[in-house]
Amino acid sequence: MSLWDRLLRRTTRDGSSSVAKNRLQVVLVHDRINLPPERLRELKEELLAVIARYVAVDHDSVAITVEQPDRSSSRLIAEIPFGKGKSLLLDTSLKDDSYTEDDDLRPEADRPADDGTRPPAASADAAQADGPAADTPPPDSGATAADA
Amino acid sequence: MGATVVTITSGKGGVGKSTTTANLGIALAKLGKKVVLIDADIGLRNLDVIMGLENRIVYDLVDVVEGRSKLRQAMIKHKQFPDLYLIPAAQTRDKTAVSPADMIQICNKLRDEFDFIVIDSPAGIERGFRNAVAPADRVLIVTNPEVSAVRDADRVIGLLEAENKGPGEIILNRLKMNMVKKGEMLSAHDVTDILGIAIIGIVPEDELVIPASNSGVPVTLNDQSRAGIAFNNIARRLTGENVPLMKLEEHTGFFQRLARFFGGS
Repeated sequence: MSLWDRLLRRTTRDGSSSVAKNRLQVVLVHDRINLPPERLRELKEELLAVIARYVAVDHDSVAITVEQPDRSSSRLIAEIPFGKGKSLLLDTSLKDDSYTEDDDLRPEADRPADDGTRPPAASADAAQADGPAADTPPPDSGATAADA
Repeated sequence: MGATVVTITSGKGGVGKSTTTANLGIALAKLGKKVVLIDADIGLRNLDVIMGLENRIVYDLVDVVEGRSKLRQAMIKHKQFPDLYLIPAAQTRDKTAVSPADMIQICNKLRDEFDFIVIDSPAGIERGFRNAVAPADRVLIVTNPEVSAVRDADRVIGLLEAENKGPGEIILNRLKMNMVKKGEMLSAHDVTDILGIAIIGIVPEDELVIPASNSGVPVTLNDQSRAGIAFNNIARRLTGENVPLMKLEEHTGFFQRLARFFGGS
């Protein structure tokens, strides 16, 4: 605090009251929907695991929060970006021996380097480019679920 | 129409419900209103000692409910205000001795004769709370500027809304303005922000409150008391008067601040 502030006794908001306010705001969100933080975390992980079975998910950009504009209305807001460029391509839809027209729909950069010379483009693609395969949970959520 | 039934509740114990009930009773009586206070904290009777009426109890709320006395016989008249009465709680029974329907019936019998019926709710959110809230037209939730009391107040607000008695109004009790200024205590603004409902009164911490309880003379009867002024203001707001919320600034002048600055505190 500057000398001037101390003389004028300017209000400071960095004391424990702002900690109290923040803690209360978080705890009341959970109280009001009767869902403790740990259960909400489990919900997020299960939700992500289900979605990841169908599409690749960009796990670093996932944001799942409870929004409570006023005390009588709460909702779960989930922003779950698909993995880069992979949202149209379900891994299970491609057989190793098939070269489908879908491959041509993908952006140039996404194609494997040996595209055209090797027929099983999709499996190579899935292994290289975009992180987790469809039915394995993301590394981070797998670890935390095991902890719980 | 008749009386307005005002229930004073909180969730958490020890935040000042009975003190608030006693003082609002006195403050409303000072405004010339006809008031009856009901202690709904059966088994933990306290409003009588705070009001200084403990030696005059013959019958209580449970005696009325169980037909051993007429309602009128259980009403203790205040020494100083002939239009202020107390119906005490039973001391040797529990909350199940009274039902929400009993409370509604008793209040309905009193409505024609009084302007305000103020019910002191027990702490908690069980039967005693439901008894106290059942007849309410307005619910005032007493809380303190600390995390546990505010959290419990929020729980009560949720229950009131579920019973269509909500959302209620907040009385923020025992606020220490010097701590708020240092950022070490939740402010009235913080509490409204967190709970999302209106404040009907802010009562500053006041060392005159405990001596007042000690002697059974509620602090509202002491003109020097800042808490007393706050209770008077709440009573006026209850009657529909528009009274701005108290400015709770400490009276610290520039030179005091200068002294404190050089004193290093």
